[in-house]
Amino acid sequence: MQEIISDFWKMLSSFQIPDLVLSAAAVVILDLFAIAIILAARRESRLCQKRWLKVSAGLELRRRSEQKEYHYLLEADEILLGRHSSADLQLKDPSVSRYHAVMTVTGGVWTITDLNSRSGTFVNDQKVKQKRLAAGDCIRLGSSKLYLVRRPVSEQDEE
Amino acid sequence: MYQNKLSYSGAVTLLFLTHLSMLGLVFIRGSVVAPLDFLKLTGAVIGLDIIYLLITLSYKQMTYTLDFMLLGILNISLIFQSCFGGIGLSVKHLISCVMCLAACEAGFLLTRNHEKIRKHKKYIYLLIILLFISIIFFTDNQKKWITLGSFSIQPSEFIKPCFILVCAASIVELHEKLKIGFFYLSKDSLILCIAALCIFALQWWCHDLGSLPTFGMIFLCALFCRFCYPKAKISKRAVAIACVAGVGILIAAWMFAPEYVQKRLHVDIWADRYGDGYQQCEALIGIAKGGWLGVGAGNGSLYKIFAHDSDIVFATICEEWGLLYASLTVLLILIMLMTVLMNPPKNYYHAMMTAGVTAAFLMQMSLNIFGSCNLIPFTGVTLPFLSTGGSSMMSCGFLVGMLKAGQSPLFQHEVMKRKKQKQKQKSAKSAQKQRRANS
Repeated sequence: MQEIISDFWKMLSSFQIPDLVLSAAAVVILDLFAIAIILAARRESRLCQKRWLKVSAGLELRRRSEQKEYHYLLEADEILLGRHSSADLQLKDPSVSRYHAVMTVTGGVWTITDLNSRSGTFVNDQKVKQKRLAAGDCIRLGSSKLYLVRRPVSEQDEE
Repeated sequence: MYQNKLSYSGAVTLLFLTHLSMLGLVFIRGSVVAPLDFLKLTGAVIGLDIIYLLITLSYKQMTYTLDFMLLGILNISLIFQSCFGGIGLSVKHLISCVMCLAACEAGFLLTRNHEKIRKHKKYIYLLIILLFISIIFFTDNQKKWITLGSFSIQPSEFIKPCFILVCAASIVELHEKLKIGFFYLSKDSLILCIAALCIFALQWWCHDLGSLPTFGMIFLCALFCRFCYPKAKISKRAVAIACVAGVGILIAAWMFAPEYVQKRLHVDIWADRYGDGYQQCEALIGIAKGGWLGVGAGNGSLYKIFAHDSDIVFATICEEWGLLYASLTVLLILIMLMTVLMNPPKNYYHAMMTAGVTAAFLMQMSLNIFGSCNLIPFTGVTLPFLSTGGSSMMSCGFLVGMLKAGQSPLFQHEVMKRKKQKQKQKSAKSAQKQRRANS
């Protein structure tokens, strides 16, 4: 058995390939592996986004001002609404408290909780401390109005 | 797998090709003396690839890329380590790699559910205390190693994942604050700060100042995430005081550092070539000798230097495989950390965990690579995945598992669904049993 291996070894060793070509080939393959992983990670992120749409019920917040309509994607399971610059959804409105309310999601159901704000949190014109939300609800913080609406399904999401 | 068949099969094929091309390089450019040793190495690498891929692909996951990356890097590391000073399978490193993969799966399963971790946070603190006790009472004369027969364990390596976990688990409870003196502090932040101070003091006591920057970086990351966390309401005054205190501590540490640290900070390696600068001088000569493409696997001379496979492993790889291949391998580890950015975590716990793990890896890699290239003082920190050492490899594996958990978190309603399904299955089984007993 060892003789066969050593003969085979000698035969293989007799081939002469320049070092540069071999090393370059190994480097190229390593690069291709890295690129393949990046592409796979990109595809995975799309799948994870689809899963997140299920978890967050595919909803988003909209705010209409005189000139524009703003869309806020709900991309975390806990979203803080307030005037402070560190809030997830910043509302530059003096009637809104710095940390006004927090929205959380569990199993596709969003809940809003008031954080002892001065002007209070209103859902469909009813003052609430904590309330489950549904698509189409109107949330009022101070004088700012936000609408919870279903997110339009893009081609990417449909894939 | 399932929905990404094409991209996954491409990645798996290239994973095999990467390892085969490396083995080809070992065979043609390396110093293969005994063909059987080379065949053993080939069998171990391909076998590990096949077995781990079969295990991972046998159950459905949200993400596989981190698994592929980890497997790819570990087998590259196995080939590197098996070629230092002659070609032959390094069984010790193979066992470390298997333990690293197992730790990755354990880390993924244990840290996936953030609610569970938050509830059981006290047990993580308890584990840290136990690790402290083991370091203080069971290590030999402040040497940070516990020797059990032919094995030795480094408990401080296991503090890293535990520390990141407590940093992450305590972030969402910041709004519950107590007034202490002039400051409003949350109980969890206070406990975390005390834990961090204890860890720093322990590192100082153990003379393990190489790990100190890694822990410092994790803690800084935790503080930064706290500033970003909206409910934290951290005042500008507190931030300013923390910054001034941090700078003050750094200056004091620099001025009053022990003699052996001062020596390392101010050593001129070329003037003291055969003294304190020996390892770095040899490492730099090795890198220069290797050039772009290296001298060939097993043909280097750095294997004669102490810690060639751990502290100056980057230089040893550069010498045998070339700067190009060594840099690309480090880039591969960086890409593994980067892929996490493509799918940002959906809650603060996983975000802090991911940031902490990335900070720890980046700090460790910088200390090792820049240290062996004499750009910063030599610290003796291991290079993640590439250096030898079971404790370090297990800790790194667990950290990758935490990254994986951040990529595919378990949301609370999914846990409830699973519980309900299990309950249903149980009740169905008991009903069947009753029917059988009745009949």
